[in-house]
Formats: sequence, C-alpha cells, structure tokens
Amino acid sequence: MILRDIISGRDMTELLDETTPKDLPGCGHGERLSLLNSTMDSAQQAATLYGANSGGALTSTELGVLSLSDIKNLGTGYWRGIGLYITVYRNLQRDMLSCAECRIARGENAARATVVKQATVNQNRSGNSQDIQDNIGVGGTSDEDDEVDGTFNPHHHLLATSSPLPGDQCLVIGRAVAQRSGKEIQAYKFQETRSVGQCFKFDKNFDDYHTGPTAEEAMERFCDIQASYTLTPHISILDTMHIRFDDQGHRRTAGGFQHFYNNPPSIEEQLVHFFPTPPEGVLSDRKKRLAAGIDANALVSEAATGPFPTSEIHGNDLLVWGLDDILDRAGESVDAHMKPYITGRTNTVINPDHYIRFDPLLSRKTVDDVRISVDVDSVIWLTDKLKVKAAVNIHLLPSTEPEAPISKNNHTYVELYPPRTDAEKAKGHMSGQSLLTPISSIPNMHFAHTGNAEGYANITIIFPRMKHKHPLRTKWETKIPYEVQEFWLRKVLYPALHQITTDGVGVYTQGELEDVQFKFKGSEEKTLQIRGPHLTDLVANIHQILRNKQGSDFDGYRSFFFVLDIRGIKASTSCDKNSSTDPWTTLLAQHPSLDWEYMESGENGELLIDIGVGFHPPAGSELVGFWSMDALQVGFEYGGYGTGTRHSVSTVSAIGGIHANMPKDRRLRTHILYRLAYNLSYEVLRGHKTRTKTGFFPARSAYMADKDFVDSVEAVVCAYERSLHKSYGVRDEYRCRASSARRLLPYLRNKVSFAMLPTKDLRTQVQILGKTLFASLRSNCLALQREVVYLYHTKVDMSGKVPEPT
Amino acid sequence: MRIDDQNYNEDRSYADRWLELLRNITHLNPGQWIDPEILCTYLFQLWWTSRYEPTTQVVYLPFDTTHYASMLLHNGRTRNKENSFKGISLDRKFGSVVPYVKHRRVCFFLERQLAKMEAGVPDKLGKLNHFFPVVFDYHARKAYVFGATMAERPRIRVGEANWTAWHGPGLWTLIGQWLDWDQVIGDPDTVTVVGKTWRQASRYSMGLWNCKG
Repeated sequence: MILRDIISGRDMTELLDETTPKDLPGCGHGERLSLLNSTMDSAQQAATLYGANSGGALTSTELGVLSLSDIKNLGTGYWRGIGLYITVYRNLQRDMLSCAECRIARGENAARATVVKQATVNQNRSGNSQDIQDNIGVGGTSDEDDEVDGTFNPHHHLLATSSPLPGDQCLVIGRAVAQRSGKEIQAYKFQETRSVGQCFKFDKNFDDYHTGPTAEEAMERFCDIQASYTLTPHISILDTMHIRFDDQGHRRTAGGFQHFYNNPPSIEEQLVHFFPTPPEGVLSDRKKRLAAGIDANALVSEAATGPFPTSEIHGNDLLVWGLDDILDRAGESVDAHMKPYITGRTNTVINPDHYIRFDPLLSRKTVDDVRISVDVDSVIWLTDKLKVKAAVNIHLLPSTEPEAPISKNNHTYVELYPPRTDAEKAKGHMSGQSLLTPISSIPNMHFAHTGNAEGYANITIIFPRMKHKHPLRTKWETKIPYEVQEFWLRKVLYPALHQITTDGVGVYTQGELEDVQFKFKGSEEKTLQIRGPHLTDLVANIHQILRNKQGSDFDGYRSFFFVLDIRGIKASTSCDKNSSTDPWTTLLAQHPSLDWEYMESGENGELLIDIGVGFHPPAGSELVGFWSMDALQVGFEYGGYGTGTRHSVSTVSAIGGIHANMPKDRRLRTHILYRLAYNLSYEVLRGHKTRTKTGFFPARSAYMADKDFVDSVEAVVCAYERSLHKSYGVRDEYRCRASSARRLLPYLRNKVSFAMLPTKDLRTQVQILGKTLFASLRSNCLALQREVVYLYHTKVDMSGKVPEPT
Repeated sequence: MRIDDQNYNEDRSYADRWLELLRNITHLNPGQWIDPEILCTYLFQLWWTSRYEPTTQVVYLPFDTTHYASMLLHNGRTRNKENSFKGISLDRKFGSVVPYVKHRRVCFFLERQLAKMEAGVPDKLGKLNHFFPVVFDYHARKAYVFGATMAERPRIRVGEANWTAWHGPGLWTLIGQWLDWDQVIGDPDTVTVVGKTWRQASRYSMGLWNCKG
C-alpha cells in the first residue's frame, strides 16, 4: 500500500508512477484482516507487558494464570476486546469466503483439475464430435502397444470399458507436449506423443458430497474453540477433542486414489524416464558453461570488489585442493593443521593464507566393475476395498504412540473436495475445486497388520472427514487422541467384530473394549488374528454400522479408507546379475498373504512401488561412490523431473543427492511419481538420530560445549573410523504405479549396464572416490569440535573480540 | 517485547493505548468505516519499529500532531507563535530519531474537514472524512500530495497552487522548525508542489484510510 511504502522509505519516483493506484485491492479484506491481526498482536504484547511486571513474559494462552492484581491492572477491556476480536474475525472470514476477489487472491482456482476435465468433456460432447473420434483413434494406439509388448495388462478391463468412449464412461484430457518453463533448463528431446489420458468418471453423488457442514459452519465452530482456548485454556483441552475430530466437510472423490491416467504408457515411453542420460551434446554444453563459471582464477575478477566491502578474496587467490591434499597437509593433532578446516585457508609454507577451493572429484578412481542391483524398496496401496488372502491381526487397543502412523509426507496423495461455502450450498453447486492432499495431513490410526517378520504389512485407517488444522497451532492434526480412538473402537469396531459369529471364532470376537483393557492394558498392543474373508466381512460390517447410526457423532468416521504399506524390504528383494528371478517375483513370494492381482487392479485403489537400483563398487575394494551433483542435475532436468531438493555431503556441494517430484502433466502419463537419488555412504550415520529433529545433540549443547556435545562428536568420529575400510555405492529410487512399472524390471538392468559403459554418460553421474573421504570427514568433525570447545573457553563475544586474559 | 527500567513507563503508556483501542475493534467489521485511531496507531507503530533501519528515509508525524498544527494555523496563530506548539504533543523520544533519518523528509496525514480544505474539484469525496498523505522533502524543496482530490484517470500535476487551502506553507515552516531543520526551511513560496490524483470510489481510496470493504 502507498502508506506503508512511504513510511518504509520507497523512492518517490516509484510512488509517482501512474500505474500505482491500479494495484490497490478492490475489496480491501486482506488489508482489514492484517490490520485486525496486528491490532490484536499489539494488544497481546501490551498484556504481556503487564504480565512481565509480575515475573516472566506470558503468551496469550497463559493469560489465564495471571494474579488478581494484574487482572485488575488489565481491566476488563482486554477480555472484552478478545471477545470482540473473535466476532470481528468471524465476520471478516465469512465475507472473505464469499468474496470473489479474495478467492482469486488466495489462488484457489489453481487446482481446478476436475472442473477442467468436466469442461473439456462438455465441450467435446456439445460441439466437436470429430475430436472424440480422433481421441478414440489415439486411445487405440495404447492397445496396440500392449500387443506389441506381449505382456499382461491388468488394466485391460478398464481399457475395454473406456476405449469405445461413449461419453459418460471416461474423460479425455491432456496436452500433446509436456513442458517446463520459467527457468533455464536443458531441453530434452523426447516427448510423449500420446495425447489421450483416461480417468474415472466424476460422480457427484460419490461419498455423500451434498451432506456435511459448510466452510462457514466449520469456521464458526472453530472460532468458539479458539475463544475457549484463549479464555480458559486449561479447561477446554478435553472439551474440544470430539469437536475437532468430527466431520469438517471434506469428501473423497471417485477415483481419487489414482495418481495417474488409467491407461499405461508404452514401455519405451516409460523407460526413458529411468536414468535419463542426455545425449552428449547436452552434457558437453553444460560442461562448457560450468567450466566458464567454475574456473578458479575467474571466480572473482580483479575489478570486482566482492559482495562486502571488507572481502579479502581477490583474483588469482584460490588454490585447488583435492582430498589427498587436505589429508596430507592438514590433520587434527596440531592447531596449525586444523587451519584449512576452520578458516578455509592454506597452512603450507609456500603459499600461505590462500583460500582453498575444495574439489573432491580430483581424487576420483576408475572402476570398471561396478555391480548393479535392482530391488523393490517399499509398497504402498491406497484402497477403500480392503482384501487380503491370508490372516490379518486386528489391533484391539488404542495406540499410545506419540505420533500418528503416517505423520511424515510419504509422497502419496488422495484427491479431496474441501467443504462448500454457504453460497454454493444455497445454489446447490459443487465446490469449484478438488485438492490433491498428502496422506500425512489427514488423521490416521493403526488398524491391522499382516505377517510377523516375513510378509509384514502395516494397514492404517485414514479418516479424511476429520481433516483439520489445530485452531491455535496452525498445523495439521494427524494424531487421533486416545479418547477418540476409544470411541471408534467401542462404538464401531467391536460391534462389527461381534457380527462375526462363525463357530469357533465367535468366542474370541464377542469381547468388549473394557474386557480387553482389563486384561491387556499396559501391554504395547493386543491383536486378534482373523482370516481374510472375515476381514472383508468386518469392513462391510463397519460400513453397515456407520450407515445405520443416526446422529452426528459418527459423521467424522464415514468415508474412511486404508493404506497398506510395506517398508524397508530392499535387502530382501534385491537381485543382482546372478539372480534367477526378478524383484517382483521375489516380492510376491515373500508376501503370499496379499492378493497382488486384486491390488494391481485400478478399480480397487492405487498400488505404488519403489523401484530401487544400486550401484556398488566391488566388495572389499574400500571405495566409496557418490553422485556427481552437476551431472545428476542434468539428468533430472533431462528426464523432466521438478526442481526438487539438493542434499550435499557435509558442506561439499559437488557431491550429494537429489529428490524431486514429477510435474503433474508428465506424471499423469509416465506413471512415475517421484525420484530419489542418494549416496549409500549415508548408511554410516543413518538411524534414529538422523530422523529426529534434535539430531545428534541439541543446539544448546554445542553452545555450552558440554559433555553431550563432546560425546556425540566422538561417536560420529568413531563411526567414520569404523567405516574406513568399508565399501559404499549409490542408489536411485523411483516411485511408480506397480502394474505398469513392473514390466520394466527385466529391461532396467540392461539399460543401466549399457549406460554405465565407459563411453556413456551415466558414468559421469556416478563417481567413485577412494577411502580418503571418510578420513577427511572424520578430521573435519574433530577440528570443528576442538574449535567449538576453544571458543567456549576463551569466551569470545558476538563481535569476535577475544578478551584479554585475566 | 524487551523491557528495561528506563523505557518501562513509556512502553507502558503505549501498552495502555493499545488496550484502550481494543474497544474500537468492532469498527473493523466488514462494511464499516475503519476506525482512524486504530489506523493511526498502527501506522505509527509500523514506522516506530523500523525507525533505525537503513531503508527508513522519512520522519512520520502522528495524526494528532499534524491536526494540532493545523488547528494552530487555522485559528490565526502566526508563524512566529509556533513556540507554543513545540514539544507539546510528542514525547521527547521522538526527536531523537530525527538525526538518523537519511533524507530530510517528513510524512504526515491530513483530514479534509479538519484541515478546513476547500476541494478544488467538486466530487463526492467532499462529504466524507477523507484522509490524504503529504510528504515534505526539505532537501529537494518539494511537497508531494497524494489523492487530495479526485480525477477521472491518474495524473500528476506539478505546481499545484492549492496547498494554501490546508495551510501548506505554514505547516512547512512549523514542522521544519520543530524538527530543528532551520537551515533547509527557506521560503515556502519557492517550494514546488507535486500532486498526484486518480480515480477514487467511495469504497476505497488512498489504500487504508477510507477502506469500507
């Protein structure tokens, strides 16, 4: 806004630009909301000031514990003000929900995928029948591809229904060319010629879409919760639980599990996205560009003054060191040897105090015999028609784990409709959008598992109607409280179990939750093993009970679905070149309790697998492999993957890993969801400590240089020392649809082996280093630890001045 | 909020002001005119928290100060009697900011009715309590006026003679003297007035002031 710009000191010529007033918002709701929130923040800070008078600073939720005298100081104005604030906030939110300009500002129209599909079909139906005919023709080509491949096509029945394209059976969407734009990338030459994608028909009656609260109703309820939290926080914690985990208005869509089009791509089309190796021209161009930028002497020109006026880097000031140089000339025994690690400058006699450019690739080795293994790392099945062959163990007690079973984003999604607004409900319209929602943002709890060690698969139940953010923490709540879990077990699961009255089984299914708690409370878990057909009955009984229950208490539990996941099986399904079987056959043999043919079918959900390929140096060679980041980035760009995230090893940016999602238009066609390339040397440290936020030691330990810090660094150093004589390779993982990607398993090894030949480009992506890297990392840790302890004991203040010794 | 003993009482006075303002918070309901007190305090807070940042180039005068100055000038006080104004409305902390400001610029707001301004162009804004910002640039000897009147399309007029309607020359001298910028005040008659006007509906104008969403 202009006022803010004047105060923050923008140039007057900018303010006098004639186009400035066009930027003023039409409705002003956003500005009003920010003004309201900042007013409330300031008032809360003011209340905190009064609280600080009596001791410590208070947050808004802790105001309930103020002493009487402080409350008198505050007066009743603050409390009345909070009530007024909530009222105004609610009114404003209601207006913003129905305001067209606000909706545009929120960018809600970005994800109108389903509407686009519907509109496309309507256009095709109404006007242009020739397009439909064309689409039928193109759709037929995929069938021809399948015949050429001569492989089993589990989607055959779907294609059979969708190929005639009678108009209401399937939809046709998509562009002929998938593109990336907006930033400078390497162009890739291949493109999918298939312009037709098929997906499930949109069903407006699916999942009772026209029931449920509107967005305004849900928001009003949450405003009340917020008020009760703010006013009486310690009382309201228990009261709001069943309101928060109730029906919030989200609904599933038909075919919402499908991440991809139903018709599979051809094998060539899909295979080209695995280990994408651009032609030599692309890579050499990139190399030339990089060489122009990375020339050590050209990094900083003589004329440039650097970003800071006090920069000490001048031209011709950098020395290139490899791993061997650092290990030869630096160490952890003497302080002078630590200098390269701490300051980044040389400590040699000939060229002292020069800055070092560290290039680990100078120490690379040539290995002709790189071993390749292919495996299936994990399996995820999204379904609402749960069915297994053999026995499953049903969990009978609520979970006491601190987090939900799926609390981190595992790159699986489901398409949900958000609640409608009041205006849309009055007109009888659908909500104009559907959102691809991560599973990890939806409340979930454990349901069952199959197998024990062999054939172990975890089954989690997901409640999409309960999806909500905590009113005060603004975070998706996924962990279902203990009492809500108890309600689900007592009112729904146990009555469904009671209906299984087969002789010999009914004895064990007639118990109540109280019985099980009386007998087994305190133990970690209690399960009941039932056979597969009984599981199907159980799910049908749950559906029937929820259908017959009246009242809103059970609304949140309806439209549930299941996620079956198998993790960490890369070692048990890995196949090298001597293996007689492929990983898929191994997987099927190790999990006989699952009905794989049923799971593969697109009508029963979405089956995703992680295909992993490992590149290993020969055993006993004491070599460590790494991805070369620049070459790997070219590969990601050439394969059409998204920008992704780069993870470098320590602070060395030349080696590391990348993980990236596939952009939507390409994902729909290629049946590939995301790719992850990382270095197996990570296994040296991988474990419980790398998963938690605290890591190896809390930050305060490093600040205090206490025993925790010293011990943790010592443990890391010892881990590196133990790994000095071990060999590690690199690994590449692709998450894709099982039914189409498993056709590639016989071809993958050939493609990778061919690309790893000495003249081919994939070889430039995989670099093999000597064992010196672990030694260098170990020395680096030791040097940093000594520096931290030194800094603590000399008590350097924040300005960098070292006080004189007393 | 960091509290030390010296500033405690002053901070406490600000806190009291915010707590008092809470009673007006219902004026932020959609469809109502925004409460000027909340807005003035908010803008002052915005400037006050960023007053020592290098990008801050202006001194911002709270509205009660400029309103008081306008009242003095309107009631026939001459330019020689401004001593009664000095140091009345603002606390002493405010003056300590002035040496840190990079350019000699002052930003403040005027209200059309209170400044007794006669609108040059007849428009419907004349009947509303309409605020508009003014920037005095003492180094460049320019006064910028934003949106004081309404125009059909955005246009910039240099040499707008209308600033005497809201006692512009008097404010130029008065504020300059109060900020101890005696060496750059000069003769107000030689100041170039740059006015920027554009189309303003009754729903919004000048961003926040008149906002009735």
